[in-house]
Amino acid sequence: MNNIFSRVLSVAMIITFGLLILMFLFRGASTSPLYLIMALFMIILGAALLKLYWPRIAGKKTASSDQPVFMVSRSVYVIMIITLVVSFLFEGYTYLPGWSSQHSMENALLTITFIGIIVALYLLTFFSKSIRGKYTFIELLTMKARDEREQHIINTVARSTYAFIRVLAIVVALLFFGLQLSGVSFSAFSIGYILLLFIFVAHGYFMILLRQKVE
Amino acid sequence: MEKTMNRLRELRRLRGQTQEEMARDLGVTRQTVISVEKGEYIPSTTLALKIARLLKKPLEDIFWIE
Repeated sequence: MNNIFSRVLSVAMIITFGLLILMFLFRGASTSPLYLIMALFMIILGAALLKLYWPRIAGKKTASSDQPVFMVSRSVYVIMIITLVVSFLFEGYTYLPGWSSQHSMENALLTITFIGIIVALYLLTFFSKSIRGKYTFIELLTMKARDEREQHIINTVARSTYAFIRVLAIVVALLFFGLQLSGVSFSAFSIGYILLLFIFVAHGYFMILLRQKVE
Repeated sequence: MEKTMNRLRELRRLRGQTQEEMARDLGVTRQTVISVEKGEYIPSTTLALKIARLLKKPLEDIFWIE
């Protein structure tokens, strides 16, 4: 039953991913269907994660390291996340004040380049052989290792990452406040991008530190 | 500055065990056994007690502080 559920989830996610690509390529003036697709994508993601963590919540057993999360390869999962981020970018920047009338390649390119650098860094560290050889995908996702020494390394690195992100959050928040006070307004989507970026930056930083520790 | 020392490598060799075998018996990775032997990683109380039980030695015979 669990296998059927996982497979249904995976197929649903892949179909959603395909629909997201189509909407991205053929996006019209109306964006409501895209939001619906994205919301569906997030619900499915949430359901898949709940399925992964439910045994732990129910107190039955912890998720095993070889338990596949989405029954698809991790690269497909990462590509889906990147597509989601890029879709948010293309959707949201049209709502930023003063930008919607421009639609210049320069603006979009700058944003995409910035995001691309962070995501590329994330991918480079994530697929680093030194990390892949020592930690499984599940261990990196849950930050829970099977071995106590590896757990100690993860804990140390996670602590450093938290300290870094804490400072970054304060700096970015002050920047937002400063810009708001000077008259620049931000749409909810801009803030959404920044929050999403924090996830990539945090995890990328985490894995850079992890790579330094394991090498 | 105090440092934790151990005789793990010596005792392991006396048993004729490889690092891999010891790691398997202790439920840890080979890298952990290597790190403990080199003194780079101080095992938790639980792991230290497991090591003592495996080697059939008192804890103080395996680990000490210098």
